[in-house]
Amino acid sequence: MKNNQEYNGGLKMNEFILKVNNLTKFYNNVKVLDEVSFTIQQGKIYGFIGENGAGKTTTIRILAGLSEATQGEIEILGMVERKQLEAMRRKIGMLVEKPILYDTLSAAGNMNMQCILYGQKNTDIAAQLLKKVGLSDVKKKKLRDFSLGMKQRLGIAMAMVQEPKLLILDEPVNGLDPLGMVDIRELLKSLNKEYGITIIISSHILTELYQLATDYIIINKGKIVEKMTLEELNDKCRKYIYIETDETLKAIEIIIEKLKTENYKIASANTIKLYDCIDDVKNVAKILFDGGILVTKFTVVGENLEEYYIDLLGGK
Amino acid sequence: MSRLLLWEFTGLFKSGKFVGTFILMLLIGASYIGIGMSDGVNSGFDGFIGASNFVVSSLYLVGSVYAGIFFTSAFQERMIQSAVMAGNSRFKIVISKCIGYYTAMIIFIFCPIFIATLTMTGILGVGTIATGNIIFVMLRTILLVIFVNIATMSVCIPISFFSKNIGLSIGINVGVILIWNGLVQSFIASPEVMKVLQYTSMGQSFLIFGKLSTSDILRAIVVSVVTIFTSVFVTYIKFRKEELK
Repeated sequence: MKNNQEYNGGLKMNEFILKVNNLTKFYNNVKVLDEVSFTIQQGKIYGFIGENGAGKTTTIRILAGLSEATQGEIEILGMVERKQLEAMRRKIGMLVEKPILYDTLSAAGNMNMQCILYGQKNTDIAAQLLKKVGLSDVKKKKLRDFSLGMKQRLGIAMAMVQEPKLLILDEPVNGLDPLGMVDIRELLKSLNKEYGITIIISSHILTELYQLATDYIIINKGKIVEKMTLEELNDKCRKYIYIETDETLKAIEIIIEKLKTENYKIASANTIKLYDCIDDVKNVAKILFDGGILVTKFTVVGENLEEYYIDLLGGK
Repeated sequence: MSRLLLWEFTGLFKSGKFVGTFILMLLIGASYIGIGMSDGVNSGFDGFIGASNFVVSSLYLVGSVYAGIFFTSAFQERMIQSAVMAGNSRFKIVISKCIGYYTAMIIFIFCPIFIATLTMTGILGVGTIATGNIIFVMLRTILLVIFVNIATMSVCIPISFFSKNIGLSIGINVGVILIWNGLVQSFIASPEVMKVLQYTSMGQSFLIFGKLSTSDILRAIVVSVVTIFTSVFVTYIKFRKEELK
C-alpha cells in the first residue's frame, strides 16, 4: 500500500473530491431526493446521517452508478460527463448495503476476483489489505464460515484493492455486535490517517458516527437539512442543566420568574433542559429548593450528535 | 473490456452452476453412446449426427434452466452491480455477460458431441458419405450446430434480464424454447409452414443436417446473427437505464 502522500496522487487536503449538485430523484412520481447538494473534501470522514427512507442509500446508489438521478449532476474528481464518471468510479471504493462476495470462494479468492475486476496488477496488495483488516490468518477459509463482522471487514478490504481516493460505505456497521463496531471504526480511522483516504459513511447509529466522523451531512425526507464539521457540531451541542422533577410546570414558573429566562425546553413530562445559567448552577438549585420543588435529578450535560439530530428533526 | 471479460470467465469457470451443468451435459453425451450403439448407429459420422441431435434436444431444457440461473443469479448475487460500481459501462457489462453465456453454451454443445463422436468413431470407424470430404462436412456441421443453437438460446437472455426472478425466468425460458421447438417439430413435414419457420434459428437447427447449398448455409448464418443481435440489443435497451438494487 502506498503512503498518505503517494496514495492521493497529488490531491491536497481540503481539495474537493466529490460534488453533488441539486440531485433530484423520483420513484413512481414520488420525490425521494429533493435538490440534494453537498461537497466532499479530500482527507475527511463524512457521516451521512438520516433515518430509514431519508434518501441516504438512494444518494449513494446514484453515486455508485446503480441508479440515475432524475435531475442534477455529480462531479467526481472534476469529471461530470457520463463516460468520465464511469472511469472515475474506478477510483472510488464502495460498499453499498452489504459486501458483494462469492460465498464459495475463500477470502483470498474474493480478493483475487476484485483485483481482476479493477485491473489491479500489484499482487501483494490483496495480502496487505487482508492483513490490514485482520483476516490474513483466515484468508484460505471459505466465506460460509465467516461471521458478519468478518464479511464486513473483507468487504472493506475489497473496496480498497484499487487504492481508492474515496471510500463510500453504506451502513457498514449494521448488524454488528459492539466489538465488531469498534473494529470497523478503528479500521476506518486508520485508513483515513495512514493513507489519507476520504470516507463517506452512512449510518443511523449516531453514537458510532460521533466517534468517527470529522464532518456531518444530515438528510431528512430527501432534503439536506444540515452540513457541519465536528467543531460546529460541538458548538451547537450546547450544554444545559438537566432538571428532573414531578412538578415541571411549577418549576418552569419559578425559572421564568426568578431567573428571568425562557431559554428552556420541557424534554418530557418530568424533565426540563435549561440552557441558561450554566455558570450559576448553585443559584438555580437554591431557587428551586427555596420554591419548594423536589428535584430528583440535577446535572449539567451537553447534547451529543444523537440528541442534536433529534432536536433538529423537531424532537421526533 | 479485457479485464471485465477476464473477471467474467474467471467467475464462470469457478462457478458451481457452470461445472454442474457441464458435468450433466457430458453425462448426456456419454449416455448417447449407449443409446446410439443400441439404436443401430453404424459409423462415427452417424453417431456424430445422432449425438448432435440428442445433445441439442437436451440443451433446450438444460440450457434454458442454466440461462435463468446464470443471469438472474448475477443480479441477485449483485455481481452485475459490482461490475457497474467498478466503473464499467452497461453496454460492456451486457456484452461480457452474453459472451460468458455463449461460451458456456458452446462448451455445453461441443464437449458432449465431441466425446460421443470420438468414442463411436473409435469403435465403429468414421464411415463414409455420398459426396464431399467427411471431416469437412463434420466441421461445417458442428460449427452450424453451435452457431444456430446459441442463437436459439439467445432468446433466454432478454427473458432472464426482464424477469429477474429465478423461478419465473426458468419457467418462461423453458416454456418459450420447448413450445418453439415443438412448433417446428410439428411442422417440419409441412413445406408451407417451414417457409416461414426457416427464418428462425430453431427452424434452422432442423435444416442444417441435410444437404446444404451455399445459400442454405448463408441463410442459417444470417438468421442466427439477426437472432443474436436482436436478443443482445433488446437486453441492452432494457438494462441501460435500469435501477439496480
